[in-house]
Amino acid sequence: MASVAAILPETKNSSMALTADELIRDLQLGTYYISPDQLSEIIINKDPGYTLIDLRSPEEYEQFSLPGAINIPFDSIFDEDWVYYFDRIDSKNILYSNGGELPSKAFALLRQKGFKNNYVLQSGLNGWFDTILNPEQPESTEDDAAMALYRKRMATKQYFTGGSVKIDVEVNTDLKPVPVRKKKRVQGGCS
Amino acid sequence: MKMNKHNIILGVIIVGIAVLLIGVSVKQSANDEFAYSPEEVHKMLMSKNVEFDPQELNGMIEKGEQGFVLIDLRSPEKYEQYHISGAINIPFQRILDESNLTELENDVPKIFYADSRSKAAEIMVMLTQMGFNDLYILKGGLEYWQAKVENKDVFGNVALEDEEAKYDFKKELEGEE
Repeated sequence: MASVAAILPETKNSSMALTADELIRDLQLGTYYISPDQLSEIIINKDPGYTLIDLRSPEEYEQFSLPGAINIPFDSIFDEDWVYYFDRIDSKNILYSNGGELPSKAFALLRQKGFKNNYVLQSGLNGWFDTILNPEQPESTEDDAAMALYRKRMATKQYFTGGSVKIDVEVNTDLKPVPVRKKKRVQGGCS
Repeated sequence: MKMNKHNIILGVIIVGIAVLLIGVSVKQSANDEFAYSPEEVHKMLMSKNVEFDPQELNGMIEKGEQGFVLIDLRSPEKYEQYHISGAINIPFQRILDESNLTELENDVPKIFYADSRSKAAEIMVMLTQMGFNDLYILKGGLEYWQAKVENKDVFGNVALEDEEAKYDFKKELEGEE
């Protein structure tokens, strides 16, 4: 019985897994990056097609997380309780942490496993906050598109930092996956 | 006697075909398959340091040390424009070319940098999956290198630690009235 259980995941894995050439082709396309502006839109529109996955420690997640994000620390991505979140066909996952490296590592591992619907928040929460809090004002010589993007970012900043419109970013739970399992605090820690 | 000779020839042919088949399959597995499962690589990434300290690298470059390979994964155009002294250029799209893979078989630390820290991390993970050893990404990326190692702070606040939070996120969103 135990040997059957040991063989099963292996078989499944090898049938889905990519070759190195296929993986490099994906990396070349880079279509799995989500820009800070795209993320803002997804959050503001409460887009139900996405699940935000916070790869940081439970402590950091408790302190701050994106609206509706679930917490799966990087060290736990292959735990039995969590790995299925990364192989869903009904939703696109956006993996994020403070920076860009950690979600990229997770992405490369999950992609090798054959999982398809995972995306990486480019330059992490740091990058997202850069664009929200300090949108770069375009030079007067730049084109209308640059100016339009700047205005949009200023409006986004207004949206997230409050101002006259008070938004409680902690409340939205629309993005939580439907078949939620009992949230388990991860054992062991990551350091 | 004649029968025996036939048998020997037949045997040799069969052995020859077998060797050929094994040879082909080994070569294929070297090209197409990964040496480690994602779970194994995940454990490796958690258990060892895969970031190379830029100041240490700078010291090695200044001393003219030879025992490492520094690999610039960006485009040839960008490499021509600027690269870290001593770096070789392998655009990441060409990393699986036979001639480039041999570069990675050297028994010395291989240190990568790319357009983004993300890209360098992705390539490092992929090559680790393929079974290459002693792979690092340049800690802080090119951004940190240019700001802090070469130009001594002119670009302002660039973090060495990719995972270090630049803001108090909660305060930034809730702090303003």
